[in-house]
Amino acid sequence: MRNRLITFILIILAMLVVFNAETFLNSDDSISPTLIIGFMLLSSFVVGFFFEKGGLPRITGYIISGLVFGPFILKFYSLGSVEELLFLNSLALAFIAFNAGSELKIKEIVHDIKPILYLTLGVTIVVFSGVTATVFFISELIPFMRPYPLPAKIAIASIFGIISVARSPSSAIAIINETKAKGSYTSTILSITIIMDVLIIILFALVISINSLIMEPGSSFEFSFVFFLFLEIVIAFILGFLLGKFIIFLINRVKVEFSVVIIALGFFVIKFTHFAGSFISNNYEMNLHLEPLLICMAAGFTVQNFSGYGDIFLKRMDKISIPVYVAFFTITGASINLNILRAGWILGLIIFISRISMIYLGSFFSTKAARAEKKIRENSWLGFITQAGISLGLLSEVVRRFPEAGIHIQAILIATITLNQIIGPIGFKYGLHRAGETFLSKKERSEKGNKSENT
Amino acid sequence: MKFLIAIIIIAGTALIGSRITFIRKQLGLGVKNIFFTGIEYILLGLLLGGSGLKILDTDTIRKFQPFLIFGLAWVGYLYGIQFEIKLVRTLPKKFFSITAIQAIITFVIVSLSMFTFFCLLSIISFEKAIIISIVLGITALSTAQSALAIANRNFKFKDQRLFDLLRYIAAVDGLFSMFFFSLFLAFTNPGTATIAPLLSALKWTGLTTFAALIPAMIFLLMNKTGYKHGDFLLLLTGIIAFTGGMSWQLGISPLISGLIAGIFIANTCKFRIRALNFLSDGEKPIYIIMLIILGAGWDLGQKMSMAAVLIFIVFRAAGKVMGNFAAVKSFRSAFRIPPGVGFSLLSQGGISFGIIINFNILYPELSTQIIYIILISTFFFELISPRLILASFQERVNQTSGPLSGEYDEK
Repeated sequence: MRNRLITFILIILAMLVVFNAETFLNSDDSISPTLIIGFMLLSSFVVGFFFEKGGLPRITGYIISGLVFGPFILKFYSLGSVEELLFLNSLALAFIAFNAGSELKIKEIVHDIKPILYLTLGVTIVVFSGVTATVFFISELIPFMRPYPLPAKIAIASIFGIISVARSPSSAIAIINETKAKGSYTSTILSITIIMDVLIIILFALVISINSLIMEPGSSFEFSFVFFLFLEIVIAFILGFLLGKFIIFLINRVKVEFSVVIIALGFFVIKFTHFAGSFISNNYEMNLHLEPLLICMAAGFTVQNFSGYGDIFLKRMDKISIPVYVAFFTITGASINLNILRAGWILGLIIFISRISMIYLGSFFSTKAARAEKKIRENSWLGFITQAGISLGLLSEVVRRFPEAGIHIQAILIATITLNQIIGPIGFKYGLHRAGETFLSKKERSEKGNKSENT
Repeated sequence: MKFLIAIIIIAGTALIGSRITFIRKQLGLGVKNIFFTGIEYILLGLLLGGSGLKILDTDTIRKFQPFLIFGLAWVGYLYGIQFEIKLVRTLPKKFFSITAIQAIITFVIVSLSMFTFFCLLSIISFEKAIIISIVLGITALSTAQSALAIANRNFKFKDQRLFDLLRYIAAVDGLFSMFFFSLFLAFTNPGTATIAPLLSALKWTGLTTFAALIPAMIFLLMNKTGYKHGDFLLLLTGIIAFTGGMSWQLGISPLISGLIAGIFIANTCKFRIRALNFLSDGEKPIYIIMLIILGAGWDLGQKMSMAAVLIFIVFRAAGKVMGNFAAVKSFRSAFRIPPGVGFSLLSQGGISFGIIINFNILYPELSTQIIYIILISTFFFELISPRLILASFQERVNQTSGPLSGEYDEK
């Protein structure tokens, strides 16, 4: 502990010296991306350790480290520097999507199909309707909603509702890896989180299409929008399946530096989808957006379920997962815009409380109806709080579709998502511990067992 | 888009290349040595670069700068972490003196001859001529280990002591290269290419020590055996990026800072072998990427450079031969050392490449000449080096097993 504290002080001091020293170069004020990455990795590593010692998830430490040293508090690096590093986030997300897909095992899903189905449906319906109702009832307190007529108010409230349904597979996976959790609770929560990641895209498209009718008078229901969305998902799954087969070939036949290949493949998928999207849009006037993360997820799923290399794949991914998570969550923390947060924090907090309450209610009734195991019944709600990347992606789509209201919705929901981002991992780690599925809780239990045997 | 294509080609080549670099066995020794040194990646870089397909143009290369800084620090760490003083002390002290003498003489001969050449032609300014000559002298004195490794893999030598001496010189003279490069950087002002005052040199030294020792101390404080693979990878990557980034930010050399940090870790950390293994694992892909980028910066349109290359080749060979001759004459050796042993130490690459990449980052406008001279001369030296090594050992080849071409002798 003392060594880490000294390390932490040394890192900070070194950065202060670098910032204040008269250097040999007459360069501008920009900071080398190499230095920022080095600093991020080391500082988050230490902060993560402090959080772990305090019983909190390491990833919360990484996020807080990014936030504190980032462009809005201590300003060790500027917003521009963070934006330069966002490509690393895309790479990390692709890596996490591969991992998420490969964590989904058909056997386990089939085994726990009842709670998975009930929880997915139950929590989605309760959270969507609950948050929509909350926002609708407080709409008079939200300045930008006041001028809208009643149907438009409901439509706007439903956008809050649908985005509240989204979750964060990346946080869930990171926490599971960190705690080395295994068991029915872990696999149920993970399966639902990943399934929701796909489902949310469809639900969001439906809600947005219906809302367009209400908020943009004269427009008609966009069947083509929904059709293309289904097409995108199907194509993504097919491409993901093919990519998965290619990865199986790599594991089986080619001896390559696996971790680097996976990250390179993720990078390729991201760039390919961007290129394909703009190519189709330019040449065929069609708006086809392939979701790279769905492709990577489907690829991971293929490796896990259609080959005998699922465990090898996971093991190799695990080897480099820590640097990836540190980079990803630190950059995520550094990207949190505190100015926006300050503007919308009260409403954000109300929606945050409403969302958690609805998650609790939805989980309670669903698990009861499904007659789920006690540990799932009591703790499942704790696993559904996390929210991150996909919610922010959906928010930018809201801004694009409804620029006037969208910008206000974004400001409020960013505050909510930030809170979920910080509280969610803590809740999930606590849930895993209560369910007795973390490595530590299993160890504690076996030690207790040994003691009672001895006495 | 260019950057994307460049990344895909470079990353793909690095991944595939790191697997196949050392497996060609049916080629002649010189050609084998060319591949062993990785010169094919320089040629690939040349093809992709400004003199070829222009995929890796100046702007695209600039985008790779953060990686180059990281790569230089990595090379510095890898080189430094192998210098465990305890181990070096077990070797004869004379070896060190011989290495030092041959290094200094080679440096002086090459620097002076190149300076005279540039002054006679008077196509570059006096200050630039000094700087380019000194850097060429610094790169000339180091010996790459590739040709010796190729020779060792294919033949058995009767006098292993002589071979050990050559290996020692090839391993240690890079340290002199780095030392001279440090002195050069300390006493010049980056950008203006003028001589810096003593105070500035002291400041440079202080900052370099700072940028090296802080990360090394962090590594020592954080290091423990129980780290998982991912944790250790994170720590090491973070330390190297931090060293390289700090050095770049302070306007000093990532290569030198990495080297000093590496030496510090080698002599203070009991888990240095784990770090060495990690660094060695990443060496090949990093080295290949650096070679491709180096090749991309190779400007074939240089006038008068072929003459400069010839002068460099002739005087480097002369420097190595005279330097080793003088060194050997100065010490009594327990075994016979042929007078022309310097011919066995002409292999070039490795540290030289690191130095010119570092120089290129600090003095981009001066480095085109140097890159041109070093790359062509490296190609030549690598081609002839294995044969020259065999020539030095001609009377000493074990006649009973004979010069077994293609035999793999794992020592």
